Amino acid sequence: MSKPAHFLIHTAASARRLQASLAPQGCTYDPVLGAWLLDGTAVLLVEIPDRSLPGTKKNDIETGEDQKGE
Amino acid sequence: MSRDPEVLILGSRYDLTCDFVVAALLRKGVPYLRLNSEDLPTADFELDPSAATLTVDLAGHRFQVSDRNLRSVLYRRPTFLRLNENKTSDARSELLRVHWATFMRSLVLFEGAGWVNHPSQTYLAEHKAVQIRRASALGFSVPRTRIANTTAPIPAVATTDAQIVVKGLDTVLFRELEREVFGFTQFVDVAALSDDELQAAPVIMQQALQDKTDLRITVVGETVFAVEITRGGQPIRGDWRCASRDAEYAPTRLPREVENRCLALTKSLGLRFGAIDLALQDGRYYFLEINPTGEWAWLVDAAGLAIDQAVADLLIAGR
Repeated sequence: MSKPAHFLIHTAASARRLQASLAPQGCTYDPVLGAWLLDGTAVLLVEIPDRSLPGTKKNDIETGEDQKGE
Repeated sequence: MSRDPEVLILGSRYDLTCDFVVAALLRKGVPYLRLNSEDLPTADFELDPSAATLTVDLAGHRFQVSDRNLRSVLYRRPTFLRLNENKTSDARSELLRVHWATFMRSLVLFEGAGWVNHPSQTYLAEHKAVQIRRASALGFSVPRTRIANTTAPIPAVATTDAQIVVKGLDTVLFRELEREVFGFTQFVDVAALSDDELQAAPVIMQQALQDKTDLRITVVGETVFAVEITRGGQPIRGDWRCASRDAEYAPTRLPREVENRCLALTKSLGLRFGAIDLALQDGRYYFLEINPTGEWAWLVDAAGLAIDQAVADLLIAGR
């Protein structure tokens, strides 16, 4: 007889399809500057007012701790 | 801009929190170098471990890092690697993954720099059992808690409550085929839990704080940023991250003794930065957890808090 799924597995409900690319749309990464720039400009993505930042693993909020295994 | 960095940022290309710090350092005119895990194989590195110097040739530019010029390191990478059976397991991929991660951690040889946070301290502080012990010792109220793989501790945790909180001892994040599945903190009816569904792996069981208001506290050095999290002006039932898209984040002030406990806890764990989750219930502040690599960038806009400036200032201040 198979064992029931662990509680943490059968209650893990939030799901999203894995993205082919994590890169912010319309942006290019500058490796020397160390930041994402709006395509064709010297404007930092994070300094654009009302920007839409890419979604993260936990609904746009938390990423750092769940990249521990990456 | 001088090519000798005073701040080293060790992160991921897709970690936009690092972008916020870069922007703040640029505004302050402080030279820095950002190294991302994904980009390491595309640059040329030479580390002299005796002299403690690092030369990096990146996209046609040379950077020289040494104790002479380096003030701080912002470390936003793993402190240990998890095995993941769903990942590509060919030899080359494994070689790159393990050895570049080790290389990044090897930069702790820059012992004169201020680390935010030092990987060894992050490793210690990530353990929830350690967090709760330290928080309790510092005088925080802490929900009744057990770590177990049976239902036996439930009476001690829930007492007469109908519900109990169950959450992972570690982040609950799985990859199944092409989907990513994440587990939030669960408020569960006590009667619904069984030994069969807990036996295989331990969980954290905790007293369920109902009618609580969630707070996110961000400690940066000696500065404490406190934010109250609500939805429609009301406290959020359950795990607030489930409602994060609709949540409101309002700066608030903590009572002095709670603020001091947050600072003391962060220091006690050897950290210079910490993201602390508290729950306010019936006028009492409960400690839930501290995250040494917790996110804060969303609060810069959502709550109007200059945490990016504070992090940059902490890095500039050095050790």
